[in-house]
Amino acid sequence: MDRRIFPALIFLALTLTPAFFYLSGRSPDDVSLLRKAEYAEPLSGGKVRCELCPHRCTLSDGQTGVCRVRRNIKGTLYSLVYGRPVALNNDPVEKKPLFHFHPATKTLSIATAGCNMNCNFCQNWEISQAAPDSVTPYDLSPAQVVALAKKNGSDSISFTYTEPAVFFEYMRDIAKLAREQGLRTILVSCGYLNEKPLRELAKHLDAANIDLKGFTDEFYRTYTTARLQPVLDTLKVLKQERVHIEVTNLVIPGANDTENEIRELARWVKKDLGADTPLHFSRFFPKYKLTARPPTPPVTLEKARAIALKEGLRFVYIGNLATDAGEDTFCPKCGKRIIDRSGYFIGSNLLKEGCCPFCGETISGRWR
Amino acid sequence: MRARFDHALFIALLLGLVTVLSQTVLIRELMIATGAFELVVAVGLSLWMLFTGAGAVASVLFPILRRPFAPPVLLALVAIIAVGQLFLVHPVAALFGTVGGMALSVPAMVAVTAIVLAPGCLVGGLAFPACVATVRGGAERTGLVYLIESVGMALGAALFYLFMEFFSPVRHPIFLAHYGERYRPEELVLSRDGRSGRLDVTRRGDQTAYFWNGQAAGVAGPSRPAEAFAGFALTQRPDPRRIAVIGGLLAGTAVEVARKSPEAVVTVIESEPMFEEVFAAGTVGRNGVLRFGDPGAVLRELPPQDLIIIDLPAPSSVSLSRFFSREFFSFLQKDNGPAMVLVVGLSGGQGMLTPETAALNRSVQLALRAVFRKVLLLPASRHLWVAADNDLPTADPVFIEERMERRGLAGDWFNTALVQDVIEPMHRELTGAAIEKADARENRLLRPAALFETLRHTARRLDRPLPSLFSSLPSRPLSYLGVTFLFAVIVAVALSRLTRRRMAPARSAAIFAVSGGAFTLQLALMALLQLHVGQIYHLIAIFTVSFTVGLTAGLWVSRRMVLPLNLSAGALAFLSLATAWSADSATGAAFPVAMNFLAGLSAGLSFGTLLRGSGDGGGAAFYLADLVGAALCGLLFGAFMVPLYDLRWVFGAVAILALAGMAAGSVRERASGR
Ligand code: SF4
Ligand SMILES: [Zn+2]
Repeated sequence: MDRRIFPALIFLALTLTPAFFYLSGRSPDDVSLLRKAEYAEPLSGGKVRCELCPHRCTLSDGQTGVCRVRRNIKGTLYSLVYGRPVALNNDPVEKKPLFHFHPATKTLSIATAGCNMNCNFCQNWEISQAAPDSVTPYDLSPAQVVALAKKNGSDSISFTYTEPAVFFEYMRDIAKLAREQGLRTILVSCGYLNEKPLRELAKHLDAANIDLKGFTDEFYRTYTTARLQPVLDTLKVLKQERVHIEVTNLVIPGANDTENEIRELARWVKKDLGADTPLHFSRFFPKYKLTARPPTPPVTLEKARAIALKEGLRFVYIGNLATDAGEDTFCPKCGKRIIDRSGYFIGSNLLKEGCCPFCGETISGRWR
Repeated sequence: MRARFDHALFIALLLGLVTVLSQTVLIRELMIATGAFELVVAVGLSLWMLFTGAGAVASVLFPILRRPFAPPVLLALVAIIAVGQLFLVHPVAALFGTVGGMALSVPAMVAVTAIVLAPGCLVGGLAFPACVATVRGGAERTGLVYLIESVGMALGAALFYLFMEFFSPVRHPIFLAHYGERYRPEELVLSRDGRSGRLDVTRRGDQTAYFWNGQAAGVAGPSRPAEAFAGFALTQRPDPRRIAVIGGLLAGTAVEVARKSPEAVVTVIESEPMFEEVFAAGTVGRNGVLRFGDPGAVLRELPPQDLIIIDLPAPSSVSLSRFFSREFFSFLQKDNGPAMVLVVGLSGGQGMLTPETAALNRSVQLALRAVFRKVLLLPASRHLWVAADNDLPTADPVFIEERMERRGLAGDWFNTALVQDVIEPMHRELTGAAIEKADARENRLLRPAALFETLRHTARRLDRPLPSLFSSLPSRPLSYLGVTFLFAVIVAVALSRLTRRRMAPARSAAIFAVSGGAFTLQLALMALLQLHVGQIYHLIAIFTVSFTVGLTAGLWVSRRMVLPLNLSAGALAFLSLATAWSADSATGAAFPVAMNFLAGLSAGLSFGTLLRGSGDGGGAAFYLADLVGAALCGLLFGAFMVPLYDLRWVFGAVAILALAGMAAGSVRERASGR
């Protein structure tokens, strides 16, 4: 035997053994526990195309989409997370953040595993970047979720933390039921959803906070593995469907923090969504894979706020940072402070019937 | 003959020196470039040995290496390549990450390490047999060359710190290279290498930021995470007079604690002495005292504390894990009396617990419960575990708010709304239930379960969750040992067949086993040192030197007298078992260092015996068996086993390896005796 075979064997043994340990352990699917996915287009040869989000994954039997939670099992697309949330909290609505939507109320916040973006700075990567079988879910039907919200005195239900688009069927069913039972519904999303399902969902939504993560396609491609345009389209559709919208932009040093990018973003929000749309600039903290970058310098956030105000936006906020005015609502007409916030805490709310108590200007939002 | 200068020996000395220096510098830089995951150290050292072994094997293909000019040329190459490798680290890492400074996945980290280390190690591997081939007296003097190379290594280890300072001018470009094109911190204020890692301080806009081992660790001035953590912690002990904070300097907690409790004396304990030069005395306010040293030792000198806050990074190493162990908690209890309240910060995540974080929390919860009467959880975004032998701690939002008001602890972020959010009934109930349900072992000094869970969590963050097979290993030590020993035997047999023309197979197998045992023992002793003495990076040089000095002495002695292998390998087994016996009693640094010297000595004596009469080309065969044995056994029985099982199992494995070496060695002796 050739002597050189031995180093090769040793090398193989050394690399394959850990690889085997590493890769083993995928569980088979029990279809009876899963829910058929909607917006699925059967193709020839047992393939399926998912039409839920702009990725439009084409999946062969056994394949799972980019979002990790929709799988083709023998020619049928299934949602692996229907009725299986992994995070449940009764949060202040300010935490979403929504500042112009029923302040100081609680919102039952719910998420399943999975996301259709892969942002290397994800602040909730523990569940968003997880496959459903690698985290421990609760078992909750839409009716149980609604009951839980009522029991805990929540004013609304929020679909949040990960990307709710990927648990579309579950979200829509909960939202529908919640509305019927007098609860409000909130979508907190990266806005990566196709128009048809979005319009269907919007009928059951009261408010949305959409992450506009940057304003260049290059940023979206390098940092999130998604594209910019579909997110802008989502915002426009939600506006048409009369959902209350607030926009969040996480400002990451060196990634999306140039004055130009921020100005363009503010201009677009004003032109396409309206000057009354609240815009939140949020401070980045190093997380997930972007751990070699410091938090956003305060001055960058202050500057972003100043730029957006100068561009004509009427309500611009700074999140995740202690500032004098960054979290407060000022009357755009007389300039007086109407709502004083620190963190989730509302120090004072002088708003009268949705109007400025000093000059009577209407402050846009859903206040009652 | 001996009187004349033999340049091959001198080259061997320099080779050892250059090897250790470049190894230390490169592995530290690799750690910074790939995301500061400590796994890179184990991967780096193992790949180092494997590539060097491969180079040694490959040397038989190049007859030119027997020419006298080969060793100096190869040495020069190794030195030049090492500098190139250093500048290669960040660009190679950048090939695998989409943006500058991004932490890499585990396969990418292994790939980067392999690419960076391969050239230098392969050439280095060629150099050793070349020295053997050109030394006067030829292959008979393999042992002498090895001895001299070891002396060089010892020198290199001792010179490391000198070299770090010499290295400082090139740090700035390397730091900037870390971030690639997209992100440039505006200004690098300072960059210092300390015993336990590197601190970089940068300024951008109005913000001063700290980077620890290349990872953002905190900012100067107020920050919301620090405010919340300090606020909650201070509500747990009404009117504390003396507060000790372990860690929390970079994260800002220490400053917040001092600022929010002007009536108390706040002692902030940091174990990295380099910080002493970076952080001025006034950093933690007028009522704050900065102390540098091992937290256990510092606390022993202090009067009893009313409140102790542990705000350390996740227990990603043995030395960090001990601060979350039952033994450390029990020390704090005895040292500070029943009026003390302990607060321990741990990864949480606002109800977004992965199975790994739940298990990490569980392992610490079990350790706290084993010591303290009252243990409760405040599930903020960073969890606060509160423990005491009194009834002062509370998770009742009414009491917390009342204490917050009375002591003026409320701030912009730590306020009633945050308290109600953190102590929200459903959130607390679900988080508590998830932790109670988690499958984890109590974190002990010699069995760092918290370290294991942290490693699993990091694997999920950087790549994907480890398969369930892996997470079930802690409960199956015997299966683990059975499979890994079988695997090691297969490799040893394959190796000895590969080199059978140059060295008797049993002899090679014996070298493999003894080297594997000695290296594993070195890793186990290093873990022991970390457990009892704390951060050991400053001791690494002394520690490594102690082994090499022992090895050198062993080889030297065995050139003069023949000691039976049964005695030297048997001594290795005995040493290991003796250390296991006393592993849980604190010993100071001297005991592990002395044991390490003796481990080196018994390995050196064994090698001397085994090398005696090895034929032509025996040098390469020896080097290969030595390196592969150390790399493989060190990985399987040292690096992998320490987080999985009680440390005493590792010492047991060393004894088995030593006995296996003895058995293989006796096969040879009988065969040649006939
Ligand atoms: S929802 Fe998931 S499966 Fe469907 S297209 Fe988007 S990423 Fe693909
Ligand atoms: Zn007004």
